Amino acid sequence: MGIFKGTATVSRYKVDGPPPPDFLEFVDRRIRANCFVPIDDATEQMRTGWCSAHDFLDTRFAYASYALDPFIVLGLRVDTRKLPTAVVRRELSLEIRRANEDQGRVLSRHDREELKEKIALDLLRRIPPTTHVYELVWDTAKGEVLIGTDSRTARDLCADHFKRSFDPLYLVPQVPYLLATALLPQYAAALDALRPASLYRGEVA
Amino acid sequence: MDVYGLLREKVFLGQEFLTWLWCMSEEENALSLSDGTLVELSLGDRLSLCPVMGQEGSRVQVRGREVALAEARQALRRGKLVDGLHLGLLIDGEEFWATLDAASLTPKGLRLPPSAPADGERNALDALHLERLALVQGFLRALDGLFAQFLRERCATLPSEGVIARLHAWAGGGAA
Repeated sequence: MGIFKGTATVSRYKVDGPPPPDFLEFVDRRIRANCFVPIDDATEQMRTGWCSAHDFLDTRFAYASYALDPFIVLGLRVDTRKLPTAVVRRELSLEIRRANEDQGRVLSRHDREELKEKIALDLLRRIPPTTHVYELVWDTAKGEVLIGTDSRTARDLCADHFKRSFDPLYLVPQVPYLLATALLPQYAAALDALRPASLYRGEVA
Repeated sequence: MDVYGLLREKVFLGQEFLTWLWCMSEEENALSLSDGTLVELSLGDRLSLCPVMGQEGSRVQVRGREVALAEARQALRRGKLVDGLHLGLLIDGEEFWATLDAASLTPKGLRLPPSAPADGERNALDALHLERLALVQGFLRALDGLFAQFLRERCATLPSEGVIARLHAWAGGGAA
């Protein structure tokens, strides 16, 4: 599920922070500076970056293809590598045995830790990353952002990358109370004073 | 207070709103929003209720229509409120369905009215995306309109005229 295909899921955010001068140039520059760079030759376990919402291989945004006036449509590409614990343990046992035989002594704890780190880095280079893309639509006219997922982890990744990219702008999730004060600012005091009510009618739970 | 503090402190607003939507789906044929939009509500086949914020108790989840609704209404009278429901909105004649949860009011599994298929051309694809965004925004605008209507009634000066009095009367009627 996302925003553009099948049934949609839309988490809502308000864009906050002082608007930068020359907004369109600012957005274009920041998108390109924070677009996705492939993780293939690195040993990171996770990397995030902007890509086209419709083609995760497209990070060039030719002719500002993210622009769909008044919307900015982006994909947040998240590549992750997960180290399989069992494989690390097996490789470590093999390496420890080999080192013990070669050196004729038992490896110290420090040596074993170093060996484990080396194995992990070596494995990370060989494990292909898994890719997820989360759709993000920025309505620049209303100062709102829709993110096509309700996963807390994914939403946090999107909000973090948005802030990293467009600082001093940042995202504030539209939880019901904030939405309420935005919809009815004249009721702010009354909304603040509201307390939970109960429909309890004496029936035993 | 940070956002997550607000989420915990005021989650009852979402619970009461979803309970009000269920009540409206049974009591009103259609609601006219302040911008003139006409919205008809239909309860779907999924409903979950949990204790009012800060109180202890188990969650009640019901699926299907007849028997399950009786169980849900009983949970209401035991003091529980709706924390998730599958809801249909007929907005100016166009049908939308979504699952809403009380904590965030995030629409999940939002089924939109059909739109014309794209032919793969870039411009056609852009047009399709704009149309889809317009539909999503139309749904969110109607949801906001309903939420605002609920809030205005909830903040009514006289408690007898407010949402809670109406929900009390509704929950007490149609007993299982």
